[in-house]
Amino acid sequence: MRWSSLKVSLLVVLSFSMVMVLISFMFYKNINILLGFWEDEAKLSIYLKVDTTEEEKGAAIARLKTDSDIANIQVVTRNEAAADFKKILGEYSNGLISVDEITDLIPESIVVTLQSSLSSQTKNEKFAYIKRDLTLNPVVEEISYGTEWIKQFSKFDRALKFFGLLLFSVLSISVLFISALMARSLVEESKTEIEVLSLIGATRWFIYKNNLLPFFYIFGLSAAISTAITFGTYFYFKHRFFLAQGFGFLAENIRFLDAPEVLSLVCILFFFVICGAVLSLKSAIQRLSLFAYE
Amino acid sequence: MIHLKHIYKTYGANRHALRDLNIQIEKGEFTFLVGPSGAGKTTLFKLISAYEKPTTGDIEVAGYSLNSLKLGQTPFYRRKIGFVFQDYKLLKNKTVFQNVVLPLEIINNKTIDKSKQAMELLEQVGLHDLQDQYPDFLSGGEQQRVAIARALIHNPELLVADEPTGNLDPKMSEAIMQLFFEFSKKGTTFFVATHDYRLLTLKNSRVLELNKGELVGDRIS
Repeated sequence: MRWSSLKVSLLVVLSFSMVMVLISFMFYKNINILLGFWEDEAKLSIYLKVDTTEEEKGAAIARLKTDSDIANIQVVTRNEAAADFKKILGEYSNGLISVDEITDLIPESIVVTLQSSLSSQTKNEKFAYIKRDLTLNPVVEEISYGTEWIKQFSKFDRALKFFGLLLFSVLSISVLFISALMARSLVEESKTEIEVLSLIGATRWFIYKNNLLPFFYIFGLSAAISTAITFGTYFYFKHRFFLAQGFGFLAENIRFLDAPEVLSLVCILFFFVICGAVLSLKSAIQRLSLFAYE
Repeated sequence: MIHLKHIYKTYGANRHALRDLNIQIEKGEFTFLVGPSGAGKTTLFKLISAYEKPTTGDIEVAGYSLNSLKLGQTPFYRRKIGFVFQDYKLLKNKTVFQNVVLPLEIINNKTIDKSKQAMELLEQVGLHDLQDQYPDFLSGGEQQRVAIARALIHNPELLVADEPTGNLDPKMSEAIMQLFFEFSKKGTTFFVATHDYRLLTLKNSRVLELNKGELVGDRIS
């Protein structure tokens, strides 16, 4: 295959198009992963009264266990709570903890975590339901789950996911359009070749094969280049940028696209590019009236 | 080989490119077609190459009735013919060798040594040194010789050539005509449009003369 400027342009456009689609999808995927971590942190704490007996506590836990949306129930004893308290306050806690009255004020609690598959909105609704259900229970002193925070987070979560999806969709549509247009331009450039081939006895199949083969080469090369660039970008952010900026959590948890994801995206783009090229070829053959007798 | 019966070709309402043309050319015959510009030579070649249909009349070439050529038969019909176009129609993204070997690639006959056949023809048209060049780097005469080699490589039953020596010097014209006669001896029918009246003196060739779309002369030189 001889490289013309249009073929080089097609290679560049296809490569960058695929890079944009792959990176935007990787962005969308990682937003979902990272938001999942935040959602998992949403917990409901049921603070028990100081004089709660073991039987009363057991009954409350048993009631919670009947709910299938609850993933985990953890009892935090007064000693554990005091230890956490001490850990949070550091050296300032020593004076306070030594006072028995203050230690007595730290309640025992039951911490409830919901299934991670639930959306943040559903989690919020579920927490509200549990709170309503347990508020009148005599052993419960207070129930807390940061209602406003979860509501805010829910909005942020939806906005971010929507933005990720929008970015991916807009980029994909633009890229498909540009790629199909480039394919048509390349076929237009081959108009003389199509005419000559048909005049010296080439069948339609030969003309299609002859003209589509460069697309396969260029597309294969573009797929390899774009996957390498996307992986390079991922590697840089994971191992350099996020670490340098102090975002260890992000560096640890972002993920690259897996093989089926890359293949699916590349195949969709390939389908559009080849469709564009085939349609252009078909119309070029018809326009040139090269098979007037058919 | 070529049978034209009452051929008319009209463009638009009343521009008659060909009028009541009746020609019969037998297999192996060497025929020149002469006439001034606008006489209808190119139109006649377009009809023979199945590029256009006659307005009325019957055309039969190499055993194919072009009026009733079936779907998909056109490429196989064209493989029986070698074309030398006035504007050469070489592929600019292919080398001289690749251009010449193209008809064999299309026919895809595995028993033929494509490379050997292409090199032999390039030798005969004096272009063996330029086999790796691209057409854009060749002179008009060199491009014309590439087009001739491409038209002959698959040993066509009929060779249709529009001004095949138009850009060649007298010595090269003579060499090309010699090559044509060698193929003619092997049974190829030649139908050559030309303005080069020196060629018409060649012995045993037939000369057809067109003027304003009508056949006005038919003689043996």
